[in-house]
Amino acid sequence: MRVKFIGLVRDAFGTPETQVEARGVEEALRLLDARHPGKILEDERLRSAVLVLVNGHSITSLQGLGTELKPGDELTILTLTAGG
Amino acid sequence: MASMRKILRVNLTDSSIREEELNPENVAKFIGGSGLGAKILCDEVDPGVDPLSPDNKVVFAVGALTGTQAPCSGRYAVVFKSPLTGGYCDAHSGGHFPAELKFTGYEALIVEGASPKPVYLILRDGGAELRSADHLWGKNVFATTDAIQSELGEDVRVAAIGRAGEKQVRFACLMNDKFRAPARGGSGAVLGAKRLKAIAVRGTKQPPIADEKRFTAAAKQASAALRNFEGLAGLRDHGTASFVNPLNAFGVLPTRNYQSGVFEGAENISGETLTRLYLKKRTACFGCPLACGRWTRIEEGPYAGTEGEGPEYEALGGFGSLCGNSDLASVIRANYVANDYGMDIISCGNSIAFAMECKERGLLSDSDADGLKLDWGSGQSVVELVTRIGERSGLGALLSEGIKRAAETLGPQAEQIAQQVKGMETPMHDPRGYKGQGLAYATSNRGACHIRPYTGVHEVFGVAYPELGLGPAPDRFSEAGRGRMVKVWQDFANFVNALDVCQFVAIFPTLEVSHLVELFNGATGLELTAADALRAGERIHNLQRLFNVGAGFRRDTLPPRFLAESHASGPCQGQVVHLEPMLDEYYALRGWNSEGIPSPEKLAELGLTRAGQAG
Repeated sequence: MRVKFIGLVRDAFGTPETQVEARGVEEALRLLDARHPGKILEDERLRSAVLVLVNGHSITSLQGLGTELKPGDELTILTLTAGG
Repeated sequence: MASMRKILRVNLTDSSIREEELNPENVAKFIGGSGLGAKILCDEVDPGVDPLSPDNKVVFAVGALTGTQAPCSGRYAVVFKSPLTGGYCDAHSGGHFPAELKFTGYEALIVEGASPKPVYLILRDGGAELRSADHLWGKNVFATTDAIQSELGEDVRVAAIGRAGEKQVRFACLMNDKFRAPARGGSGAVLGAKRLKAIAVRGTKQPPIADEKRFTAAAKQASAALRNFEGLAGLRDHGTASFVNPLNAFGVLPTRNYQSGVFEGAENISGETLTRLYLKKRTACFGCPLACGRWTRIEEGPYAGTEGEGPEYEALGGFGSLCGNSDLASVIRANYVANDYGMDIISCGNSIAFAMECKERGLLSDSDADGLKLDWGSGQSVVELVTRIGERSGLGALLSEGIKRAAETLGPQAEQIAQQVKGMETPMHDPRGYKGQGLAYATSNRGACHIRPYTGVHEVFGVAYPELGLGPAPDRFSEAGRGRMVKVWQDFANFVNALDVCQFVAIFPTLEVSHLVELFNGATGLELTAADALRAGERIHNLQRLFNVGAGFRRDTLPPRFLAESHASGPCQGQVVHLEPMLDEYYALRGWNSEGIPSPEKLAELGLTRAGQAG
């Protein structure tokens, strides 16, 4: 499935998007973090300033790392920031 | 009390200038910055005055921390009755002008009356003079600033109005340090009506600190907290523009006059793209370790040579996605021109997007714009309309009145698509994706405001704020509990604006209430608690509300689109803001009646009576 990177995660991965095959968010994040260790996960938990969205909805409002993924879902990984 | 200093009063009608003592009680009760400014405005200005008449006043106020080693404290407040809303307004800005103002030794500058001829004010240590501005009238902000610095020296800091302020565009603003703006509400129009073209400041007095040891320890702790907070790294690397892509992903990036929250061209106007194509260097306000400012330059194309600070996120939204415009160079140019004319980019961008939707719906045609194409995505038209609004020419004259008045002229259909609260155009955050922001927009005393509070940090990004009692992220589409959330955060935001420190240090829990209170106590020698600080914020909010009640405002509301029209697709599809239950909860917690009027009991509790008689 399509994975979009925004902000500092994009800077770390050096690309705005990639592909990953996974049945759930936790599996997807492990696979992605393995490519650039420590940029998404820290001690097997999501880094404090990293947010993960599934189809525009934060996994904190879904089932967290246990959120299941289905074909066609879009994952967005971004870092906390502010504007105004 | 170390920060208890003087106020300077400048009467433009008779050219008199006099010093006054700052009442120490006002520091304890109203803190400084916009708190002190609100106190002065409400004491001295009848809420019913014509905001463009000599009876209105403009208060410039710094805070107890301005110009000190406290991080992100180089800010000031400009407080006045708004010609855009007809109500209370305070606007804030950073840069280097505010610290210089503090170094002159004055806590506040009150400008009253109106000059028969254009003048500018020079403010130095313990004194001031008015000079003719005949040679400056007609110039825009950049040329005015350059001319004054040429006359007085490069070390003078300047705040000036452009042609938009002279022509009393209702959302014209003062610009300090050329590119920094106390943007919202029309301070430039009020100063234009008073024929005060600029203020030049140069001071050498170090801000007084009551307890150097305590203050220095608190400032070091604050700086370390800011350095170590990972959430602010995005601001350093991509500026406030770093917000474009995240908000688009959440489906709350205002697009085509809020008809959608997802913009297909977001990547082209994002912080990442701005950094890659146009960023020359980062810039910082006085004493700021974050440096979220962007210095950009366009090297080629129709806008080649455009160079300056910005654009910030609100400009990328306002001149970009809101107008369906993904041509980043045109956004940079529009932002530059708006800065030079001295106009609030949020209101300006909204006005252009409103005109484009009016064309889409057959309420305006290209001939109404003298042949200019009012089509979504036309960056060229966006740039041209900024100039026409600043000059009040053609369609620009209608739009320069703000979209509330423009819509009233165009009729009921236009009023349905005019995105404003209390007459102030809405910022670049769609509240259908986080309902507390809708309540914040509705109940802000200055009109639609995204920073008092910005609830998205908690509702969307899920950041907890323990000292405000805000725990894990709530469901962003729920209205439950938003009355309490907005109430407590507004009180805190008012305290922050009274200090006057940047909202970015408070928008995340990098510096919590108690931390800021420690800085304030170290600077002033007072002994406020965190509860006292929030109570001061509540007092300020109620005082502002009293002014608005006096000006005729009653129960708050939102634009019809937010209440009844959802996005057709995207993450927020099907969502509208159910305002009334949130408003009922909020008013009850505030101790206000169903019309949004503070009860006598609440006023007595806060030591307030009514506008003009604040205790």
